Amino acid sequence: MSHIYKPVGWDRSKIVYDLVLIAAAGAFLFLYLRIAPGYAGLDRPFEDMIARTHRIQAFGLCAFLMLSVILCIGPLARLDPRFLPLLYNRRHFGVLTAAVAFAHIGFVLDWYFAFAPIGRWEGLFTANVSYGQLLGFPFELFGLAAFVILMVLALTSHDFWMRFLTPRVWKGVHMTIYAAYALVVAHVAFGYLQSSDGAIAPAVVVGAASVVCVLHLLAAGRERRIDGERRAIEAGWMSLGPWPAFYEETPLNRAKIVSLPDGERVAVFRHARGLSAVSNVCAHQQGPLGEGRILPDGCITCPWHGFQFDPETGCAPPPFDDRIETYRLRLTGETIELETAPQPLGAKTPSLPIAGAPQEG
Amino acid sequence: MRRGQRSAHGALSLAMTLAVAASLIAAFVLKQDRSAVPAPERLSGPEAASLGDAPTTAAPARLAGRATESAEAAR
Repeated sequence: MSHIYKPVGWDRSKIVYDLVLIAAAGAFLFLYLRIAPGYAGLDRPFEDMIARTHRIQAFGLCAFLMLSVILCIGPLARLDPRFLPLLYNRRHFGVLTAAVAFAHIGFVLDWYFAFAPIGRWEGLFTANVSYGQLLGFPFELFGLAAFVILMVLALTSHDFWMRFLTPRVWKGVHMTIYAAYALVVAHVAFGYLQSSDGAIAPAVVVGAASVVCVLHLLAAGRERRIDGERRAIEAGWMSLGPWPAFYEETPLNRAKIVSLPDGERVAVFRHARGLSAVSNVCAHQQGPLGEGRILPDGCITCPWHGFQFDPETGCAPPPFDDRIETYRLRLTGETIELETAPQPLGAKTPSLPIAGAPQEG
Repeated sequence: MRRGQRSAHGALSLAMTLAVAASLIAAFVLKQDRSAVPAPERLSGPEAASLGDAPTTAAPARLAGRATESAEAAR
C-alpha cells in the first residue's frame, strides 16, 4: 500500500449519515439551550452569565453524548449485525464530536478566562493547582487531555494517515479513544455533576456511561467465547466439526470465525462453490471480515468500509492491491479440517466443494 | 484485529470501564459530602467558585481580571 492522498469518496450513504449527525447534534443543542434554563430555575440578574454557562454545558454534554454513542457502535455491531451500517462512517462522527468539543473549550476560555490579566491558556493551567485533593480538583485538565486525544484522532482520521502510519499503528493510536472517554467521564463527574442541582443531568450522564460500559463487557464476553473454543489439531490441521452442522449454523455467503492455536482468527466462508478460509483481519482497517459477507460479485466484503477480497486468492479486485492470507481446507469423512498455516499471500487456494451440501439458505 | 491488538483492545476497554465506574462512584460520594454542608453556607454557580465552594477552577482568574478592570475604570 502506498500512502498517496486520496480525497474522501462521498456517496449517498455518507451524505445521509453526516446530515443525520449534524441534524441530531443541532437538535440537541437547540433543545438544551431552549429548555434546560427552565429546569435550572436560575434568576434573571445573571442573565448573561446563565446564557454563557448553559452554552458551555450544552456543547460539553453534546460532545460527551456523541462520544458515548461512538463507543457504543463497535460493541453493538459485534453483538448484532443490524448495527453494522453505523460503523460505515464512524470517523465522520468522531470528527464532528471533536468539533463540538472544540466549541465547548472555546466557550469556556471565552468566559471563565476572558477577564483574567494573564493569558487564557495560562489561566487554565494556573488558576487552580489543587491537585492534591478530590474536592476542587482542577477537573478542566481531564477535559483538556481528552480533547487533545480527540483532536489527534480527528486529524489522523483520513485514510492517508492510515496508509502512512500502517493500519496496525493507526489502529493502536485510535484505541486511545478509550482513554479519552475515561478522561471525559472524569471531567464531567468532577465538574458538571458537582454543580448541577437537578436529577436529569446526572441520570443522563450515568445512563450513557453505563450503557457504554455494559455493551463493552457484553462484547468482550462474546470475543472470549470465540477464543475459548478448543478444537482438535493433528499434524497442522484443525477440526471444524462435521459439515452438516457447519452448514446448519452458517448461512450462505456468511462465515464462521474460528481461532487458531496462536490466537489469530480465520473466517471460514460458506458460498455457492463450497467453503473458503481467509484471515479474519481486513487489510484496510483491521476490521472483522468474518462478520461481513460475500456479495453477488463473489467477493468477501468487509462489514466496516466495504473493502473486498477474492475468497480463493485473498486479493482485492483491480485496481486495488490489498491482500489477505488464505488457508487450505479439506474434508476427512464428514469433518471439515483447516490447515493452521496460511498460504503465501496472493496464492490461489481452491474452494472446498462439499458434495450433497445445500446450495441455498 | 490481530491477536495482540485484540488483547490491547480488551485491556483498554476494561481499563476504561473501571475508570468510568471509579469516577462516577467518587463523584457520587463527593456530591453527598457537599450536600451535607448546611444550606446557608453553600452558594451555587460560578460566583461561588471564587469562594472555593464549587468545583470550577476558573473563577479566581476571572475575578482577578474583573478587579483589574474595575481599578482601571475607577482611574
